[in-house]
Amino acid sequence: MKKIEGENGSEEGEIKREGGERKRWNRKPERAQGSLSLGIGEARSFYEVKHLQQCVKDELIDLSDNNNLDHDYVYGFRIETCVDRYMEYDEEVMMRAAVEQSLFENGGGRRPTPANEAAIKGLERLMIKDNEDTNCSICLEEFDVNKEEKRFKVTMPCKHEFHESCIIQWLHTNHVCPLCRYQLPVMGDSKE
Amino acid sequence: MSTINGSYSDNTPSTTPAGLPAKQNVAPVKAVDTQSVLKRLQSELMSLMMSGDPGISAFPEEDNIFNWKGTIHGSNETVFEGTEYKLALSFPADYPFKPPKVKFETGCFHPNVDVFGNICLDILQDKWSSAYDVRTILLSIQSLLGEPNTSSPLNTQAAALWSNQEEYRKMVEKHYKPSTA
Ligand SMILES: [Zn+2]
Ligand SMILES: [Zn+2]
Repeated sequence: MKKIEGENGSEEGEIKREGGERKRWNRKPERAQGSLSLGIGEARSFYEVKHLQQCVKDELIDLSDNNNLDHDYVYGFRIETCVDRYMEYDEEVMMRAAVEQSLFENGGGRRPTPANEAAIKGLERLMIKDNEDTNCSICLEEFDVNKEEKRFKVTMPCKHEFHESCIIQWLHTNHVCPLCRYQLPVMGDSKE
Repeated sequence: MSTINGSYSDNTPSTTPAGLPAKQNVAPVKAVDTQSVLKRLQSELMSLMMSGDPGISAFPEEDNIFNWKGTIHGSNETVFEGTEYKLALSFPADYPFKPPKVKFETGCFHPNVDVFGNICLDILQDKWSSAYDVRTILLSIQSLLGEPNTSSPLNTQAAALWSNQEEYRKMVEKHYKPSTA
């Protein structure tokens, strides 16, 4: 489980709202109260702050799905991070951002929905008899009778073909065909 | 979600029956296979070098094939004409099932790029497909430059200015810092 903690304890993790003084980061002294600075001098709009907060929430939802993290704490931490992106930053902030970014592997936004198991099990599966010259577009390797991992071919309903192990790993991440976005049923669909 | 539990290799003892095992046909979720990620990245590098697409290029860093540096040229007849942007791409251990992280390293004044170089582009997030590669990513970012999504911008100032291409060009030049490092 990933643990998120500011290196100097909770002070860094607090949500600082409009005009709140923040000590650790460089900021433009002339910055207007109640607005966020872009680091090149422009004030950020309310809309943009909202957008940032939405990013934070999306990332949080991703995170908490996995990790049972303390919501309030993480939430504060991330707001701080996003806001920092819009401020004049120095090396310390850069380093801190690098560390944080590594904590958010899903890149923000919504997470794709996996296909349901019944749909995956129902896919047409074939062991090839001869080597084929075509490549699987997930691993970019050929269908190969001599390799355990490369001899089973799965054909999607859209007729696109992949190595079994490749497409199954993908469908456990996202229910759409990698090549044409044909949608397999997702978890919770009535077909299950 | 990725779990790194070591890797399985091609030397795994073969336990597959000769026929088609109808029942046990769903492979368990695989541990991350570093070897296959390396293979895929090498193969991408080859085809990228062969393809010779004008205006894009990418190459792994010396010591780590999971980190690449990319370059895109602003397309002609856009406000980005004549610019060259450096990007950093870092690939996760479960690539291509998860997208790489891609950031601008050159300052880029664009509605969908923030001051930190983060890019808001659907194919790098929820619209990622395991059939995409470095080439499609770079081409997508190149076309994003000339065709921004101004409805949900990261940089609202850029979004607002987009309609005034002449002024926009000035801002592109102002924020453009070709890397010297
Ligand atoms: Zn494959
Ligand atoms: Zn398809």
